[in-house]
Amino acid sequence: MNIIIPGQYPRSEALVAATRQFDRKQLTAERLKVIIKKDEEDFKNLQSDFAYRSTGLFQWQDLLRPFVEIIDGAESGSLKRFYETNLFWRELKCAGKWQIKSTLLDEWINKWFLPERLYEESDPMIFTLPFLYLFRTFAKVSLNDAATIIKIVAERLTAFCNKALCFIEPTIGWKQLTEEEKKIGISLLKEIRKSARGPVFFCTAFFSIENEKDFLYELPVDGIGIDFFANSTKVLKQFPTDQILLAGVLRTDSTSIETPEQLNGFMKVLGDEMNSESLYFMPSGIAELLPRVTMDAKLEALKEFACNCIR
Amino acid sequence: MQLHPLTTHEIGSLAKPTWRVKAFSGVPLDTVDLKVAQDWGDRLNIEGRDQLFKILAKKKDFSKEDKATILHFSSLYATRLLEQAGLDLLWDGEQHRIEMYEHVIQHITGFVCRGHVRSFDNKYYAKASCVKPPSCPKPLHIEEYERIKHFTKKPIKVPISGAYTLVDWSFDECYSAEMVPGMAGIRDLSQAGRNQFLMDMAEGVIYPTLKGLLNKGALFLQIDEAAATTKRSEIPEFIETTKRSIGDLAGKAFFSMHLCFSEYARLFPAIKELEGIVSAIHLECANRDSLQLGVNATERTGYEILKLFKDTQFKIGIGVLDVHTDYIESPELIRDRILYACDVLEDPERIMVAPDCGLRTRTWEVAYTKLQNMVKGRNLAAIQLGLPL
Repeated sequence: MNIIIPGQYPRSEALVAATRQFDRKQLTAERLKVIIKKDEEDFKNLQSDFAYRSTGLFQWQDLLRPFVEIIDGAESGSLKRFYETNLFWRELKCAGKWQIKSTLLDEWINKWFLPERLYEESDPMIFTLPFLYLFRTFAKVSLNDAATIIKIVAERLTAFCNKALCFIEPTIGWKQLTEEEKKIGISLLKEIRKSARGPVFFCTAFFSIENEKDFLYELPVDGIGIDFFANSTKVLKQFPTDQILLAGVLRTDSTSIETPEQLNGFMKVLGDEMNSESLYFMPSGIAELLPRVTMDAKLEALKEFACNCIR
Repeated sequence: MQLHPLTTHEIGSLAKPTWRVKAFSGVPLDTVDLKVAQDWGDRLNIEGRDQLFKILAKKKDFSKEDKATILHFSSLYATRLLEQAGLDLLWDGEQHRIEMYEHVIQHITGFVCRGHVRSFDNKYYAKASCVKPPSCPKPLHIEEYERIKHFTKKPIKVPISGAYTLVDWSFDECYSAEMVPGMAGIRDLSQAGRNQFLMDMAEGVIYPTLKGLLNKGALFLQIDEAAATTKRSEIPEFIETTKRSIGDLAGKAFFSMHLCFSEYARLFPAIKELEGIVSAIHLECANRDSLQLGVNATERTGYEILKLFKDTQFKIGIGVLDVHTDYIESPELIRDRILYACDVLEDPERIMVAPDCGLRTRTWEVAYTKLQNMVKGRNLAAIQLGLPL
């Protein structure tokens, strides 16, 4: 089924309560692990027919936080608003040179990307990484240093077989990028894609991409994610024919569950330009902006629609 | 409604004492909780406190009446804490409220709680959806105000969550539920729905609340708009929402607005439209400042933002206490922060003094010490400026 859910999936109410208790030392680490495992299993089951499945990143606090462990001298800093949402991430700080501790990389990847006994090594999975401009927004780092860090991690992740890599990048449409910044981004993706064994996706969110279409459609990736609550399908006029459209059709700033009429409506406004193999569905922004129960219900509605769509 | 220069106040919230939290959440009290009640009761010289101790001694199974008495004392304790710290404008540290969002949502109509979403780290908050146009069956906070005004002879300032923030922190299932993803003009349609949501919240909830409080004699009304600058393109909507919230009440009370952890530059020039409607804007500065003594721009980095507000007509509330740390700011540091602010704005009459935000995440011991130092620092600055204490 052509649905992907990259990034952090919302924690269940039980896990929210458990982490709170754990932080207050009212719950043991072992018990917390069990509850996390349950969230992971439930989310895995929800994605059983998906082309690529995500772990849900239930242990992650934000997409930059794990990098504290792998960048020499890095630490978490003050809170910073995640674009124009009410979610806050911590800035990543580093006193010295921004450098990956390469000896720890394998262990780090196992810990953060491959939760124990959740998936087999050959299972189709989707990994998520912050892209360059997002990374720079939340870390006091030069774009070139950020590119080096992302490249090292991405190349390791894309060496696994049967895995897709999804870059999250809401900066597109939020902040104007210079030509030099764009060049660094394109060059990074070229490098990563050269050796990647699976597809590389690039997902925008929250903002109109109208003014950045040329740059976006030029990116050397296999699929591009567009938020269709921030964009009309008019932006697809020059969409590259050899790429997958990752259509953000589950609204992450509303708890209304998308109806078959709304999703059919999307297919109508999309027209005949996209064949079903080049079309994946996904949330419009990031899934964890919604409560778990709501996101699960939205996903079920989308699955039902996607099933009928294929038939 | 005249305020003396460098008027001091707390923004809104204080922590709730454990004896109040446990009693309401059904957790049995222990001897430490009783001792806390006793110690702070003695320290603040709370009248009639034996009545509270008698109830708390039960430790569990509190009746509805017991809980009402516990709430009464929690409010009295917190008001006294602020009074004895020496503040000029008082409130009760929001002892009646859950917090600034959930409390309001529970007391108005049109919302359903949908679950918890992350705020940061492992911190989550209960987020509600608007399912029909919001309205309030009766003005909010009247009972709180009526109670607190009997606790003190000092003026009372009532903090009220603002319409823009309440909308921005909620989901919407009412105003733009039917949109087809990718449809032509989707952004405009979405914005139109949101604008209606904002106006309904302003006119249906906040205006009647402000009016109700004003009718009961509340003359200092603070609108809390933590979310004001969240969306860059919505500053005009935020301004319009504020205008609709206050409406024809402008000039009848001292309206202030608290904007914390915001990107203040985004508010300009639009915020000048609120001159004559809102009297004071309170800013969070200490969080951005250094801890070094001094009255120059190099030390006072957190107060650079005041330059933005210099050519406005607003009084400016400056945050001089960082609410996210137990570090106790010295009176001298607070003095220097105030003196620098006076230097930038060139008019001490325009300056009010407060913490960056509510002190709810600090213990009472820390909050009390910080506030006492704030008053001492204010007095040191007043002496240096030749102002009356």
